[in-house]
Amino acid sequence: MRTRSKGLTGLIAVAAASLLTLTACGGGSESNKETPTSNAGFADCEKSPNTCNSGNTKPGGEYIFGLEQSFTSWNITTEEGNTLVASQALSGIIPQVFKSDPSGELQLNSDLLTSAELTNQNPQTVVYKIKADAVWSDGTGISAEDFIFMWKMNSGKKEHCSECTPASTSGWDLIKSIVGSDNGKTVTVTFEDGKTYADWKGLYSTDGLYPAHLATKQGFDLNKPEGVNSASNWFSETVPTWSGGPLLIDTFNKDQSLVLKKNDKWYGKVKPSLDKVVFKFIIDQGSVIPALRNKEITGMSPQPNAALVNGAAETPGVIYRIGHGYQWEHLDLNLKNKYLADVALRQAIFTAINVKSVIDKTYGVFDKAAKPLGSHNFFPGDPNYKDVVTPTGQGSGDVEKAKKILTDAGYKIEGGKLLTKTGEAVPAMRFRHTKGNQLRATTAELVQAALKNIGLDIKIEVTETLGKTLSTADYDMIIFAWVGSPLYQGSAEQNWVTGNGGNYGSYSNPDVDKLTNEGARSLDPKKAADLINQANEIMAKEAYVLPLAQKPTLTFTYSDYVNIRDNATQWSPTYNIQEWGQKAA
Amino acid sequence: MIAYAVRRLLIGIPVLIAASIFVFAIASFSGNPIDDMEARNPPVPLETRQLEAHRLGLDKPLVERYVSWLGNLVLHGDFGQSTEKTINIGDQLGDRLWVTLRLVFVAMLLAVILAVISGVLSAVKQYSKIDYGFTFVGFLALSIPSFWLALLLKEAGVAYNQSTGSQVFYTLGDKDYNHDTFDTWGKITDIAGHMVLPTISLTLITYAAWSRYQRSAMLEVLNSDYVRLARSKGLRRRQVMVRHALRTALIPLATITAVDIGGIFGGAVITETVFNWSGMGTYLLESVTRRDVNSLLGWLLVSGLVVIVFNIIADLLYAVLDPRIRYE
Repeated sequence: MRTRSKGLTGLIAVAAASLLTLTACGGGSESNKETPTSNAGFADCEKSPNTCNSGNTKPGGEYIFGLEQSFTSWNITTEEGNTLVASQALSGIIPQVFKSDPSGELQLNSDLLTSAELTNQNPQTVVYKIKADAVWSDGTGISAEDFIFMWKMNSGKKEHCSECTPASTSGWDLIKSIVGSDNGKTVTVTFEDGKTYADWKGLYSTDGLYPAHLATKQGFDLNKPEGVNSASNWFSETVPTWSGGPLLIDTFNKDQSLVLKKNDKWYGKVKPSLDKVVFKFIIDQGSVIPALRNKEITGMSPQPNAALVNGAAETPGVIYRIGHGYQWEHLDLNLKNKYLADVALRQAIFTAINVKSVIDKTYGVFDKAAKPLGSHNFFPGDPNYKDVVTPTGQGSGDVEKAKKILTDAGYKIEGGKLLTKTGEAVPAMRFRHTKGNQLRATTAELVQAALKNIGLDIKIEVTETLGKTLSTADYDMIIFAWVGSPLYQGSAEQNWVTGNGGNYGSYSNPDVDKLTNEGARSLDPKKAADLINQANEIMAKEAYVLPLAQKPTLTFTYSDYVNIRDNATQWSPTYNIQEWGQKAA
Repeated sequence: MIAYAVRRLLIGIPVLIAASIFVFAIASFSGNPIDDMEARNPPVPLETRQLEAHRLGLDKPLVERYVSWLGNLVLHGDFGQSTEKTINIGDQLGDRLWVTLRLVFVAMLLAVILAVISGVLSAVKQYSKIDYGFTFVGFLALSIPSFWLALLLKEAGVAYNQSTGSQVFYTLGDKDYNHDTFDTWGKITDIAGHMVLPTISLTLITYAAWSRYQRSAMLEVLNSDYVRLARSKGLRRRQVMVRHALRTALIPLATITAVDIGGIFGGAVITETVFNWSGMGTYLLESVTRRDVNSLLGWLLVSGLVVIVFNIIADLLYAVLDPRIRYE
């Protein structure tokens, strides 16, 4: 029962909070720069990313994890359903073959499989051995049928599914056959002759497995393309009552929350200790910290900004960490622009831009550890990471060097204007960034100021349709982010090879194409990384894309919960959801 | 009166159609949802994009798309396909409208009561401390941006909870995720705890303007001849105020309330977003973000219909407030 004095205290607190809010809104604060990248509890994540905040759990309790948006489709293989939030919310339900740990290493899901091995190079053959006790929540064994069903939903082939809309067909479209043996517990996946898919560990891992037997039970004939399509739609529309993971859906309150409970048929080593895991959908970033302080959420991993970092740092009992993820920001040039087709101008542009200064004024405001990225494919901490940008001088902000590159190539700067070898003035370049992204807007202004030093005018334009702007190459310069992954080979081919889908600015170099293609297809990871780094060195010298920085990630949780930690890969902090729990005394 | 209401509803139909053409054109020209699929990494396969474009009718001319949408709506009550394949626009609108109406209705009711009380008192006690007090509060509420007011209220609610160690106020959503397991009293307190802060927020920003209207309407009536006559005939002050002056002075407020309903729906976008309510406001935002033309049109129709219905209700209220008004 509420007492009178408590009520009075409450009113005083309300008044004080309002005053504090008014004060906070009124003026700037230097506290941003003082906020460290993590605090106690997460402090050892830098050195021990896979084990920080570990601990024994006690049974019971609920954990409420905030997600930045809701989702509408339960089938994460589809274009509509393939969202980060859906993957996070369903990570305790959909079994996956490999998962990346926080250090970026792909680990076999040893609860589900005894092995997943590449047994032959040509034709590429992968054999998965499913554990005998791995079952769906209705007791039906997880089997080869589930692997085949996933292939049919994702292959993009009309003979498999009449109208499936997979988010990606990469790798799936190269599979020739999938054969089950050993009572369906051994699955042999054979690729087309002469074709290789180096990122094969991503298959059944970035998405997972769906229960084929439930589709059959619903009356869908999975041997017919229409049947697979109907099954795919059914899995999209129907809230799962099934699970192949440690948790099972208890209730779903559309656009508000998803409540998970324990799956009694869970076959894994670690049984969940929490009674419930709740995902709350919070679309407004400004709502996150009040909800955290009000314990309406107990943890989250949102897109960071200064207010969120400071809010988490100042909430008593909360531990937080700023990590560095697989999303990286970069500046791209459009080589279809006849002026930018000249490598000297491109080199001068990138040299005149001070990336460190850009970072200090954007991410550096709340992320002290943010630093320039030196590779287009790998990230610091990865053994394959090689800084190919710094040796070129690009991103240094060395205006004199930039001017020298230009004058050596015959350009002139007269009256603050850049003139080509023929005396023609280089026209203003259109720099585009997504509307409403303040960090990118700031970057655009800094680039504009930097390039003024070499006589190049920049016209900043926003875009509301980034996809169209990129696909139609409707820009001279543009800033956007790529989402990287521990599975890097496919991305490299997609983004840097002549004419490929992600190569929006039309870069083309036969040597880069050859090395990248070879690297992308190599089944030897070390050789692949070496080839891709060689290609990267050539491309960096030709100044096509200037990497800026890895986008920071932020994870926070109340400290009375353990085994929750940052995972900057797409498997996110929910990768070990069954281990989450209340800290044992 | 019923015939009048029906006639007004029918007049609203061409207005809604004209508005839908306008929104359809604007939304369609602002880009299509398929473009964004190309920027994903890896890009969504071409076949998938083509299938989606076909499903959404984007492979057809603009006019044909609109006519087809209107035809399906009129003949089958079908709002068309959302960019999110699993979303049924009609069902979504129903769910979201209920959430918003619950918030807006309570907030409007409280705002009207507050506006009438403060407006009347301010007018009756013109230039008194009460008048200055209400004027100050009214202008303060008018000048505070709604999102900021909502944030202040949230901070206050959280501070109260923390200091008392209780969970009286909630800042997220319209009910608890365990709501269905609560007993009746628990359900009532749960809903109330989630409603308090957003309702206060919406009430305050709405009441402020209305109280000013009510004050000036009341002042005008109080200075009118018939009120002076009533007083000079010896009627009691209270009787004159309530039966004669207030009744007439409510007519402008009824008009303003009806006109403002569209604005309150708009204001609810901010309140719903800040308090994480899944109502019509957030539905609008999500539709715009997804470039979901059919969802936008659905929102427009429902919101437009609500505005029309409230306008009719206001018209009908005139007759109740002023017996001289008759509808034919």
